[in-house]
Amino acid sequence: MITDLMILADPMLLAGGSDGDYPFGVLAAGPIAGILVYLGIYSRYRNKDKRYRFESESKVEVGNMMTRDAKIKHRRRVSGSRMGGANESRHLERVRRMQISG
Amino acid sequence: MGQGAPGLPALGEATRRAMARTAVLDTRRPVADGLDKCPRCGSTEIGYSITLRALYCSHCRSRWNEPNAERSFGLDAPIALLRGHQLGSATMDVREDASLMTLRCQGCGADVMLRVSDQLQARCHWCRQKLSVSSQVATGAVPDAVLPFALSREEAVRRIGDFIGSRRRFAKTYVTEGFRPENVFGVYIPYLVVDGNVHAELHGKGEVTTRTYQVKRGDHYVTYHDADVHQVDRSFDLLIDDLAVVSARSFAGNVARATNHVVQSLAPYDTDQAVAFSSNYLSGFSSQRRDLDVTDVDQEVEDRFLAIARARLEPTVVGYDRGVRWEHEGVAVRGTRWLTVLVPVWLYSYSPPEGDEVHYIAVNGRSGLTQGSVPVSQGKLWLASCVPGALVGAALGMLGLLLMIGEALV
Repeated sequence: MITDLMILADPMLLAGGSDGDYPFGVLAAGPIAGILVYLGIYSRYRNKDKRYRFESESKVEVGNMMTRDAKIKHRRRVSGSRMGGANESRHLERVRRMQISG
Repeated sequence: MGQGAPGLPALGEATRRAMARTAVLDTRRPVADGLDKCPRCGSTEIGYSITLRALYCSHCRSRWNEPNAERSFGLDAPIALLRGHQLGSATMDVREDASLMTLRCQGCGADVMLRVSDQLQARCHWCRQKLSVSSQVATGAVPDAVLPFALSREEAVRRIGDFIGSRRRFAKTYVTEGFRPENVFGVYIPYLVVDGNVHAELHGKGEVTTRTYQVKRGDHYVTYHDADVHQVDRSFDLLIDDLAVVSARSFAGNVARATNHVVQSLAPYDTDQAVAFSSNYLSGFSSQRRDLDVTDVDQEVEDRFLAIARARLEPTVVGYDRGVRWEHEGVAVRGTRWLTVLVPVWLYSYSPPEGDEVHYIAVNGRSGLTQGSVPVSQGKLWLASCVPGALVGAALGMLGLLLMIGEALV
């Protein structure tokens, strides 16, 4: 949250690169700071984000790993540094289920 | 969590296929219902001492523990050898009609009736001896194993007091003024603990940046990337040890409820230290009855297997700097092993004014991990939020004013 506040306090960021954005940025900074403080305190008291991270902390052994990585095409001139729908870190989000045999 | 796509097997189906081959592990103690006697003097005045971490006889002062559940039930066999589906004999489906039981006192011959859905011990009203339910009645009240308390009540009260104390400023008044240590209770909560031998497969796409460059658009530059797209497939075996799922409806499921997320966030428990169940461990504590069966939680467990699989794969795809999009996933469950284990929790609940949600602070009765939900006074919190908001707004306003004056002068 401190980082967020520091970013907010940077007048260059608030200016957004054009003169017309500047007064809006200044006006929005106060309420945004207030909302961040509210959410930070509320989270510390209610702890709704706390959970046991079973997916990384359970006792697990991995074996017989088979990997296949094959280039299928080349994309040119894409904007954004991440591919659309990347989900390798969203472990709790389920995708289309397939039936496999053991 | 999401549901299976139409036409594909529903969640939990892989587990159910394995369940078709079910074996029952006998986890019963060789003790009849009624008098559960001290092995040394024969007294029934047996309790559990957290200080001694053992059952003790208040008559002859001897102490002992029931055998380690994992070893005595033969659960220390390698998970890799698991095939089919094994259930502890106390993990069979709960029957709601089995709530009353008659115990015959072996001391005087009296018949004593007790409601075994919420009571596993009673005193004989004639000879005052303590009678215990030792058989695995199908009410969900008797587990396969119990993980006894290791953290003292005094330590739990101190931790709960500290938890509230560090959140005093914005808490509702009834929380800070009304902390009553006498309302901290030791509760055993039922978990289904599962070992799994599964095979997992995932298919998706991954992208690697090959070139990054800037193109001029009007008076500014835009950054673009070229990337190679790869088909990414992973197939592997997972041996999962002691994955625990809450098996009491009131604490399971929706973690948006204050009670649920508090209790569920107290994990992990060292369930490998659980001992064979004896109702003497519950003496002086309350316990929650299991009311969820394996078939009620198997979908959640299968989702957890998949989540674990996804987490374990992450290090194998770090080369894809633009990320990986998993598109298909599946598990084949070769074997599972389920036990019901009671785990210890120190629980403190507030008595809210009418209409307010009940909030809990709970302490893991083994590790001391403390978690809770403290109701917030919205008035105090809004006031506290307005002050820094106003200060930041005023400071930036001044800064903006100075910059505009500076620009005007230049």
